[in-house]
Amino acid sequence: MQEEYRLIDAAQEGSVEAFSELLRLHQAPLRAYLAGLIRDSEAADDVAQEAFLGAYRNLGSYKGDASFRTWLFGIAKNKALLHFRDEVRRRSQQSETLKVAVSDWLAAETEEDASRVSRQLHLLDSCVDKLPRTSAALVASYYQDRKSADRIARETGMTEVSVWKTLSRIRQALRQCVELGLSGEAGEA
Amino acid sequence: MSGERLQELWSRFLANEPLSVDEEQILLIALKADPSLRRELLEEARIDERLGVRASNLRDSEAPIRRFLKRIGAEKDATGFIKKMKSRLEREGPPEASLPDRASGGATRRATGRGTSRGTSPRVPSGWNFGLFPAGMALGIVALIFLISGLGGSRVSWTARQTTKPPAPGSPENAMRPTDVEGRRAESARLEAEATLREIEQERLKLIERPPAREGIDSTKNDDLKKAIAELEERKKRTEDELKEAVERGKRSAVVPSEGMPARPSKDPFPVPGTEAAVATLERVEGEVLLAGKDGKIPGRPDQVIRAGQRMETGAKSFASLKYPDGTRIEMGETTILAELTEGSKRLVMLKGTLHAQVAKQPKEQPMIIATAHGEARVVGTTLNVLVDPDPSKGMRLEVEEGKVELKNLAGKTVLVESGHYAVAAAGVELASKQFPVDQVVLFPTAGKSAGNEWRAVKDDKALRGLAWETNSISPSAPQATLLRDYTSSVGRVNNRTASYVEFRFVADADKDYCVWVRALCLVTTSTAGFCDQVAIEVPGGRVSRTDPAFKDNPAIALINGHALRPKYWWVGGDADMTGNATPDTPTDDPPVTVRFARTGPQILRVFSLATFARVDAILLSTIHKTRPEDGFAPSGVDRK
Repeated sequence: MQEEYRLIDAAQEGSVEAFSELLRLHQAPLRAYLAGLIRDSEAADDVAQEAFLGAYRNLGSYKGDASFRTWLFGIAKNKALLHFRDEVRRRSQQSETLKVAVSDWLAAETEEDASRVSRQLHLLDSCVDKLPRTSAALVASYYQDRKSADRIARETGMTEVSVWKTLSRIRQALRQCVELGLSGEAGEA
Repeated sequence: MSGERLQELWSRFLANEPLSVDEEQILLIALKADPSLRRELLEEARIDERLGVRASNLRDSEAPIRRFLKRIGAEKDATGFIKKMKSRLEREGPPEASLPDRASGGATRRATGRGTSRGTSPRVPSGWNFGLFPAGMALGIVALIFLISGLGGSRVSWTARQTTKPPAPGSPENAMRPTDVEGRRAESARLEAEATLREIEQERLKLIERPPAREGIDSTKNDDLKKAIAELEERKKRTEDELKEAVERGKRSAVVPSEGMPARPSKDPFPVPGTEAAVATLERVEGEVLLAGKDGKIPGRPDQVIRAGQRMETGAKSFASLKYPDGTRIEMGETTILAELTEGSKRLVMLKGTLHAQVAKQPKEQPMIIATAHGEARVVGTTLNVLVDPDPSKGMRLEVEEGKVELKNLAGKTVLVESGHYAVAAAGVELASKQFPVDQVVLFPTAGKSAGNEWRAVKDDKALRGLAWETNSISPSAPQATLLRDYTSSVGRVNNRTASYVEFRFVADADKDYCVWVRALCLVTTSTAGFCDQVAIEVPGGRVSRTDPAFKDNPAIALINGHALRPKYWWVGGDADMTGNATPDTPTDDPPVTVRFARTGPQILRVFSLATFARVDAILLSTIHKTRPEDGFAPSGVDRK
């Protein structure tokens, strides 16, 4: 924490380096938070950049009342709302599509707070580590190596449909694992 | 619809894989219908995103930081660039000759503009007209080809449309004129150009900083990206020119109104249709029936072949029936959508509405499957109704008239639904087979089977479903005595069980009084018509409320008489002319005959010809319609109270 205060001070005095260091600490949970909200990962990353920029420009207004992460998340949330407003305007003529409906549902639940998101990311790490070998391999080739389901199917001898289903099952298992971890933490607290 | 199928679709949706309209609908309906499923899937979406963020961090956690730094750098650069540009222009002035002479740029526009349209409304250049006309022609022709190719499945390229160019922005219509507020306008043009340049740089950075797209399906994305960057570069050059121009004009107090960029040709809205296997044939079409495929929607016509992957839609007050090669018939009620029809093993997805199916015997290991967003019915051979409520929480209702059908809900639970029973697959509803109350039954010709040779099915556009049972075994012009003899011999054949008949099988409840309404058209208009316009109905499993002396030994037979009173199809429930002095407009009706069945469940109704010369196109057994239905009353096969 001391380190973070030092970085904030330095950034407030104009050090881009220090601000970058702050971003290194917080970018992952912030992007995860926005991605969960916005769904389109590219758009989410664009909004994340807007939030970084907003934070950088308004660093002077950060008084240290809340944690830096909470403050950053607040800015991100505002940027996300701006994004949604544009979205609504953009799609006012469109009929209801699945994408629109899903992003509305996701956006409707914005109560996730900063510390919860970063805890979830930590838990997700340990849950992925606990996956059976083949599931972990599938997660690695799909998410890290960005291989298509079609290619994974060819390489593993599965059908493409079962790749899709398996991915879904793994995610559901991870979800349960993360939820279990969260409730365990709540129990300990 | 099984949970596994949803898993697959959701997974593909999360991966941004293209889904068909129907697949999207399936997901949408399932998500809307079941809040707990929705929560689960949305949480899965979050996990998916988090796994994505986690993976990109594992790959390169510095990327977002680099992107941020680049952006800050770019902002400074852009400001610096604009400053430099301004000071240079102010120092040197704009060398007219050195300005690039782009078609879309300002220099050409300025040169052509000055002379042509001072103070008058701009003349439309002939190039515009020529440009528009061929474009319209091309659209018309291609639309026509697609309509045809939708039937034949041939492939058509779309080059004609792509070659149509938008009018050049440098045309005289964009001419400017000097004004007394030129200075201010030039200033705002300059500011606008500066802002655009900043935007362009930010957009460019966003584009180049994006992670590489997933291989395979996204490969076009990378091409799109290159194209987008090239377009931005092009735009940047144009804006730089505009900036130079604005600065120059600020000095000269001349101004060019800003204008939009030329429109880019839009994306091809008509994908090339494919050739798919034939699944079924459209039999009957009423009202608005659409056949939707990859190549858009076309109105459905009788005898039209339905191909795999196509979807069928009926509008309000519309009806369609389709027939598979094995005789399986599906009747669609109004506002119904069927999709993903497959050949071979019969499978279809029902998105909403009502359907009535008479399914021919299927191989046991390959039942027909009717899937909805709430569950699926597996049918080996039977007659059934499926109703998908527009309110997703009400789910899918399966009613089995004959045979047995297995219904499986999203949770994977199954229940066997037997004849006279129904089950509902919906979120939060326990899956169970229950007896359904039947308040009304409509029997259309397609549901009837004839025995003997007196009745035959005929096509008739005026009939409710385009089909009627006709009997005309006598000659209506014969003397009355002959007709009477024919009538008597018909009665005899009915009594001694040698008469022809049309038999309908359906499900009805015990101990309810169903009014019987026969919709028919008497084909005779001569004075002897009254001898040729009666039929007898028999309910072997029940009793009728009023027997006729001719059939006094059989309490299950009733006479329906009087269709000749009107020269069209209409509903008659008893004897429409018992007093002998009714007029067509005010027929004196007996109250309708009612029938009562001894047992709840499958029932039989037979229609006999009594020297009849008429067409029957529907029979209604109803606890609701106790008085004659309007002539225009067209019940749907699956009406419920």
